[in-house]
Amino acid sequence: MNILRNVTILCLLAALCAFSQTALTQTTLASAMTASDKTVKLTAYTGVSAPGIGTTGTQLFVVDIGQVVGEVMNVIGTTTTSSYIFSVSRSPSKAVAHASGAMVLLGPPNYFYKYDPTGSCTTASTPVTPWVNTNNGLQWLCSTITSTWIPGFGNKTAPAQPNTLVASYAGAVLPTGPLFHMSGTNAVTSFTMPVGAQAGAGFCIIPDAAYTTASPLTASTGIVGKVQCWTYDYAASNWYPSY
Amino acid sequence: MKIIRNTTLLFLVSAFLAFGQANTLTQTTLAAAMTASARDITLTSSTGVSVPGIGTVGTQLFVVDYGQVEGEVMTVLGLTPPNTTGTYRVQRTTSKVVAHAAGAMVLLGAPNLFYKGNPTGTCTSTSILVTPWVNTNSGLQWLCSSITGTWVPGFGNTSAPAQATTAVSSATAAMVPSGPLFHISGSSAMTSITVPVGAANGSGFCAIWDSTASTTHAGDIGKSTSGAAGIVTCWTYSPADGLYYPTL
Repeated sequence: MNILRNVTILCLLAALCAFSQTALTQTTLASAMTASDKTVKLTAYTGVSAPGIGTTGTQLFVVDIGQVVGEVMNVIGTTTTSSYIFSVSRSPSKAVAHASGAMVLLGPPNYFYKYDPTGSCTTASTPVTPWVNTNNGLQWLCSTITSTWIPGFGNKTAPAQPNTLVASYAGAVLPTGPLFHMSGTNAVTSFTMPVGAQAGAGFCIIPDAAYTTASPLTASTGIVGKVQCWTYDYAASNWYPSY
Repeated sequence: MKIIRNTTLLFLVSAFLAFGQANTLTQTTLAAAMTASARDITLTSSTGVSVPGIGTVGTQLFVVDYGQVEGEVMTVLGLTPPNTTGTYRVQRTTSKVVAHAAGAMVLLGAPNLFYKGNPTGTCTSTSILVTPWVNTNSGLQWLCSSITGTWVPGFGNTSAPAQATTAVSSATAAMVPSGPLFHISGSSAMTSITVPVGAANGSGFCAIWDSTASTTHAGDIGKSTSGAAGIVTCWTYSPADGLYYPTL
C-alpha cells in the first residue's frame, strides 16, 4: 500500500514538473546558409541534441533579421567537423537562404505550435515559453499580470500588454516582454537579449521610477509614467531609446 | 552569322543588366475619388503609366487609401475615351472593388513587378527585381536592407520588427527616408521630407540620430526637432495638413 502511495506521489510530482514552464533556447546562425544546405552552424549548441534511442532530434526555428516568419529545421545528426555544426532536415518547399546572425529558437519538436493561443493561461501550467507558432512565426507570452496570452517579441497582431515587472539594476537587465514596468532608480547599462527578440524586436518600458541608462546604452532617464521604447539596431548590436 | 552572334550577346548583356539593378515602383495618387463601379481612374501623374499595345502590357496599379495597407489591383486598359490625358480606363476585379478617396496612394509598374506572397530569408539589393516588394494579397511592403542583407518590413508594414535601411545624410536638406527605420548622419538642419515610394498612404517612419542634428519647421515638417545622438525620433504623417510630426 505504501509503495502504491509513493508511486502515485512520484507520478504527481513528475507530472507537475513536466508542466512547469520551460524556456526555448535562443542562439544564432554562425554562418549564412543557402536554401539547399543540409547542415547548420550555430554560435552555441546548448540544448541541441541529435535523435537517438528514446530521444527526438531538436527542432530549430530560424528567423532572419527584420522578419517574423521563419523556417523549421530538424536536427538529424551531428557532424565530425565541429560541435557547432549539425545535419538538418528541411522542407524543400519552404527552405530559403538565411543570413549569418539569424535568430534560432530551439527545443524539442513538441515545444513548438502550429496555431496561436487565445484566452487565459497560468505560467505554472504553461509547458514552454515563448509560445511560437511556426506557421506564422508569431510569439506569445503568458502574462503574469493579466494571466492571458499576450503578444511576444515582434508580434504586433494584438495590443502589447505588460508582462512581469523588471527591477532596474546597475548592469544588465532582462526585458520580460514587449511591454513591462521598471522599478527602481539604478543605472542600467545594457539589456540582455531576451529569448525571441534576436530577430530585431524592440520593447517599451513604463517607468515606475526615474531609472537611468548609461553607456554602452544611450544615456537617458526614465520619466515616471512616460513610456520609453527601445529600438534594436542589428548593425550596431545596440538598443536605442525614444527619449 | 555575326549578326546572330552579336544580337545574342546584346540580348545576354541586356538580360544581365535587367537582373543587375532593381526596378522601382512609381508612386502617384488619385486625383479624384472613384466609386466601386467606376471604370476610369484619374491620376495626379502619368509618369510610368503605359497602355497595352503590341509587345506592351498595360501598367498595373495598386491603390491604397490613407490609413490602410490593403489595396485594390487595377490594370490599365487604355486612355479614357476620347483619350483624356491622365485618365485611364482600368480593369478591376469584381470581387475586390471598393470606392477610393481622392489622394489615395497609387503604386504602379509592370504586372510582373508585384507579388502575391511575402519574401523571407536573405536578399541582395543589387540583384532584386523591384523595390519595394509589394504583396498585393496582404498589401505588405518589404525592402531589401543593404544593412542586414535580409528582407525587412517596408513602409506601413508592422508585421515584423523594423530594421535599419540605408543611412540618410542630414546634409541633404530634403530628407528622403530609406525605410521605416534608418540612421541620420551629419549635423545639418533638414527642411523638408520627401514622401518615399510606398508611404503615400500615410505611413510614418523612425530615425536613429548618429549625432546632434535637427529638422526645421518648414516644407512638410510640422514641428522643429533637435535630435541627440543615440535617440530614436519617429515622425507621424497627418493627411489633414500634409505635415510630418515628430515624437520629440
